[in-house]
Amino acid sequence: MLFNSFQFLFFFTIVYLLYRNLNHRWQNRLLLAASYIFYGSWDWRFLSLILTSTVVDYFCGLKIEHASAAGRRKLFLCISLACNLGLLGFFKYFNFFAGNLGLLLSKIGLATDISTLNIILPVGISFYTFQTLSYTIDIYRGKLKPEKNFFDFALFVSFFPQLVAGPIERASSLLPQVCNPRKILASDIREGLFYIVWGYYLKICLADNMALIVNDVFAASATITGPEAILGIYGFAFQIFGDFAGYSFIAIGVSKLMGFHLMTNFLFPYFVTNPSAFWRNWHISLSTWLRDYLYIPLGGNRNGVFLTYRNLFLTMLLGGLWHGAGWTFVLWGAYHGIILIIFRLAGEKSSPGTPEKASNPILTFFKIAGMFQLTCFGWLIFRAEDITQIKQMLTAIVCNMTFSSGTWFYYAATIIFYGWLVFVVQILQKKHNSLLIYENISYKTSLAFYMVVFYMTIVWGEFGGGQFIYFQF
Amino acid sequence: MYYLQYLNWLYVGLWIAGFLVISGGLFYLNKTRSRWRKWLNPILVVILIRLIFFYNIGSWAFYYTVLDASDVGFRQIAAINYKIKRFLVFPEEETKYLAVGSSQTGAVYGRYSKKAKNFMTFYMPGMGAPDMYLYRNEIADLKPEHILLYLCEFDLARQVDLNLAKISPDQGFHLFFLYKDLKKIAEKYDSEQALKELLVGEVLIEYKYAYIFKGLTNKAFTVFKKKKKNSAEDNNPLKLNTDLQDHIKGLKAKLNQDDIALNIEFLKRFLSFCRQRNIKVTIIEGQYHPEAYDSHTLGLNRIVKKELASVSQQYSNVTFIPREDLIIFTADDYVDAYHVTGPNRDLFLEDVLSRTGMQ
Repeated sequence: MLFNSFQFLFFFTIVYLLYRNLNHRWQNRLLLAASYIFYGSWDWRFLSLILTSTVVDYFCGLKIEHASAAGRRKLFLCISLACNLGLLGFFKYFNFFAGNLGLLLSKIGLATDISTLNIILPVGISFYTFQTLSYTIDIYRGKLKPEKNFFDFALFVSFFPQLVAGPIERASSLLPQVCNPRKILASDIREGLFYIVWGYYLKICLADNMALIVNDVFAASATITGPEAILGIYGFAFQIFGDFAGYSFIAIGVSKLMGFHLMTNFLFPYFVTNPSAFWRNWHISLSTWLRDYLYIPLGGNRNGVFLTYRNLFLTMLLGGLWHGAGWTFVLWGAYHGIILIIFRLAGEKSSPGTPEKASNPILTFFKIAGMFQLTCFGWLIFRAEDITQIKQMLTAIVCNMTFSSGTWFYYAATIIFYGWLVFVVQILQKKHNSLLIYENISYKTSLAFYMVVFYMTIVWGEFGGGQFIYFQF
Repeated sequence: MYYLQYLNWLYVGLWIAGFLVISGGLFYLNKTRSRWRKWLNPILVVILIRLIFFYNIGSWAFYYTVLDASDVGFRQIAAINYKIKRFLVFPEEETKYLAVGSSQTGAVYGRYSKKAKNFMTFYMPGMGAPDMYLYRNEIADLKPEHILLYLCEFDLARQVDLNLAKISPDQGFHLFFLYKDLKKIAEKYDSEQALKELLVGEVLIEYKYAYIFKGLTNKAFTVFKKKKKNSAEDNNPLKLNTDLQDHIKGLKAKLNQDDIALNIEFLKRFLSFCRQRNIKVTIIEGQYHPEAYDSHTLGLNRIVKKELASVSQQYSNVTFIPREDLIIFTADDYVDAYHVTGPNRDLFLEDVLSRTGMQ
């Protein structure tokens, strides 16, 4: 059940009407049932996996808390890690590792027949396993008390707006909202509706129209010209932003309507001047998860320069692998690790919480433009099917910079047409340091904004029910 | 410019009045900063935009002038053309005889309708019986006395395409009565998405006609792109015989006995509609390329012919003329598998005109 489908609109209307008329306890039960229906609509068999993860982590959480011996605490943490990472590893990475192991063995002369299995990747498994892992790890670290009510915990794991593509919520943030009665204020409704409207625009209008260009370009990577390749990559940068940020905004908006406050997952990722800032603006829930549960446990920046860079690189490498079982994802992660290190070496690193230093606006413009090119190079690696395709695209850019076919103009005009509003909104959001632009613009401008979004979405939106890219993760 | 003489001036007057009222309302609301403006402003703005872009013959004429079939599709450009005609009032003698149907109808009658003073065509590429029913009001608004249909298994043994139905005119409250049948079609042909889009289009006119604006932007963005020339329906002969064989194969593949019942049902509804308005209907059995006749197509022909004969018995306003009673087109008459452009077309027309009393 995709957010951009009639089924979801119908489903959520029913759920919301019931939700607003129930008390807290019954609201939670309704949401739990709705979440399982939502998840089961993809494939009812997936429910067994999420239930397994839920049951294991529920009991491990309680056991970790009540165990007095450090060894026993560690044991239950390991059980939780093994279960969640085992599920993730099997369903997502078995074929990848099996295939590559077979290839490696055959290259060193050991003929072997390692079979791969016909495994369906359960939707959202990368998201909810990380979410439940954060629960048991935080209990182990003493930062959180376990939830005794199984159904409330199950709702925390399976809460449908953010179940299949994030944001990856922390138990310390979401569990209290589940367990305690929620108030829905008028401002929550206003914010929720804004996020939903904006999220749908990003997905239906921006992302799905960019997909048409991107698919054309990457399908013809062997024969395209340089300008077409560049525009195809830019198109993908906007596609993945529109797709993923759009989904997150819809999830946040839907949650707000029900009184839940999820974390912001995207800010202004293409208006930054260095990779650290990029990761503080892009898929924030994942980057903070990786920071808190991988980078810091590895040692973070506490053990000298070399180990800091090692930890950064490993974190980004595994972050890349999280996105998919493929060498291009690993390469993308490694690429981001390398540019993070290079920028650190060059002294370019802004700490969280400190605003970017006010500097020469022209210099800042070029820094932002330069960082955007670096990000787009990463997207090329991310989107390409294999290394050959990366080479083809780069060859086109380097050796075939011709403007003779009119196709480049079509791509450029399309990107500008669907991207201009996003550009304007992001500038306004960054200027006022708030995603809720309606708080900082006049009534007439606000009306114009909603009219433009309405017409752009209804008239130029792609309603083919395009899958969200991050569902494959 | 040709159509200016037929303009419905009453509608134009009403449009201008409506435009002034809405604009005035918006001006008043914002000048007086009325407390209702937050709610009324968006509604009035949407109404104003609809008046300008969808209820204005000038806009439709603009769309028809700027766009062509390669921008939006053959069916869509025909839909725009008939939308313009909804703003016009034709003298009744000019539309006394109306040929309704698919592009085959256009091929057979098109040239004659340009010369004749009392004969008009209402055709759209791919128009089948369900589409005739969906366009019934547009057809009736032309006030024909006598409708000519050119139908055979090519039209009536074909899958109903809801993807084209979604650009048909608004059905209004009649949609409630139609919904059950449309749902049946959607389930049979796995086109639930098209049905949903049709329903949304009924509520949001912007969505229904989105193809126009997408076509305009696409045309602007591809201004430097070299375009492939589309072959017009009855002008460019197929270059190679292999093209014709592919076309014939495609024609035969689309025909299915299972699709006949649903098409006949809609045809009957259309005929009932015509009967209620005292419109005579002559169904002329259609033809297609002789090389497409085989046991499959001739078997379907027997079933369809029987149905059409039965329908003409059921409806007092309907006459059926089987193809054997008229000139049979030869292979040389066809530019592809089903469009007639050849020498026998004129003889065929004379035959039809004399049999229907139009001459």
